[in-house]
Amino acid sequence: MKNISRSLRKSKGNNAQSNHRDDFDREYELTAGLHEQIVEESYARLKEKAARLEASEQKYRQMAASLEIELQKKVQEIKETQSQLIHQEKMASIGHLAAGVAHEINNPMGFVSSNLNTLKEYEKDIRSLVEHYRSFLSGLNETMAAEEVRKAITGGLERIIKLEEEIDIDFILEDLPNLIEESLEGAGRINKIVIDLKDFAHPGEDEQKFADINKNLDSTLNIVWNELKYKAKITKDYGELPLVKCYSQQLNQVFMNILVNAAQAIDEKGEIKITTISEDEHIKITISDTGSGISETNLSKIFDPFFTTKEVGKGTGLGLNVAYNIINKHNGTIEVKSRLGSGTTFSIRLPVNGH
Amino acid sequence: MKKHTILIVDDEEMILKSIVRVLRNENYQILTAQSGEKGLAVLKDYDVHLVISDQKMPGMNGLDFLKRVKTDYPKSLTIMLTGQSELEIAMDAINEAGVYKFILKPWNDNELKVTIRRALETIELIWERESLLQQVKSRDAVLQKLEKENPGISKVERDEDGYIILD
Repeated sequence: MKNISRSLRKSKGNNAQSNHRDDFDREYELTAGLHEQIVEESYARLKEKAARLEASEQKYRQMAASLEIELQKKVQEIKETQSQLIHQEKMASIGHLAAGVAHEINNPMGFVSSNLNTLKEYEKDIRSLVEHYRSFLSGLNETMAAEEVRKAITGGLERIIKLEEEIDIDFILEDLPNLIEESLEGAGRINKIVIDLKDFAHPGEDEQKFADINKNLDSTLNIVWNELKYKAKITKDYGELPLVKCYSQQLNQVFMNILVNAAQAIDEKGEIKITTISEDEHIKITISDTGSGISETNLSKIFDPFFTTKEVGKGTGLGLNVAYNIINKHNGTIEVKSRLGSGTTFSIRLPVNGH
Repeated sequence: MKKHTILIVDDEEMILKSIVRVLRNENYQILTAQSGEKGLAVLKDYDVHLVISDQKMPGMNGLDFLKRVKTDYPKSLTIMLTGQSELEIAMDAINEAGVYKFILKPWNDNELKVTIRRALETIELIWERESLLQQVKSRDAVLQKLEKENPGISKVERDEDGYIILD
């Protein structure tokens, strides 16, 4: 560039002298040539640049496309992990539940099967007594002389009275109806637990159905009853609710998580209050406990996955996260208020038509 | 053999009744209580050989109840009878409350009967050993007292033919 400007300056300086015209032409040609050369050169450079740009654009397009694919894959992965988490949490809570339910079933199972065993003993005793009666009767007949009859009666009666005392037939007869009544009650209790479990779990429920949330709360309460009964007085204040379009079993999972947490927050003896109310196309469920409460720092984290204050192995840290996700899926909201030392309240608001 | 006393503690009345039925012909004095607190009250009034307790009960749980029994009535044996199969509870029952047996609900009646008999035999042996030891100790005391008053009296001296030497 320095060269060119210098020549141009020169040419201007020499313009005034016409006798130098040839020089000018020569210089002009030189300059024009130079210019042409420069233009050509930059054109080539531009072209090259354009080609490079195009190539790089191509590359970016490809990258963008593959990024899009990658993103889709990640989104899919996250979705899968999330549903896996929900499933895992469900399994953990079912495991927890199973231990509680096992206890609830093992108690009636214990006395029902023991009672049946005792009944078997009673049956043996009663049968042997009946056999004695029968042989006593068959020992008597019309052809016997009066003296013989008297003898047979005295002997037979003696044996029967002795056996009656031995097996304590009075006790058996008195106890039999109780034994049967208690066993039937035990069987009824087991039956109820199984029905509740079925209501609670509803395997393979993939679509939304209309459910009476008050009933859902009751069947969940029955399932976790073992956890609650020694610790908390349950107060229910159910309002009249419209049927709610929902994944009923998933909501049960939410209620169970909150109720079990409430029971665990209560140290000795407390109260859990469940309120339901219907308000313009929504229903609101409130579950509050008089437990130990949650500190402010922990309160902001309680819906986070894997956040737990329980001992290792006691909680997955997923319960409330899953609850949050399930309520979200129903286009509802879940809120928590708590004060250390006085208790915690969960409020859930759900749209009636599922939207 | 003398009549043994058994205390059964369970918050479930029907469990108590069914076990009483199982032991009907076993010739024991059977006491029942529906909580750990009530169980402790019974223990104050009776000499109980064997205590059988549930774990999960309102108020005091079975583990704490049996721990109390162990410290306050060390001569009694205890059995835990529970519907909870968690390892932790079994470990605590054995290690902390020193139970003789840990039995799961639903139980087997015959096994329960046999377990109770074994437990009572064990108690009988322990008590017998105690009383024998006591006897030996008291005789020893008498001998020592005699020896103190009359030195040499508790020793027997014989001559080479085996005759007893009397002073």
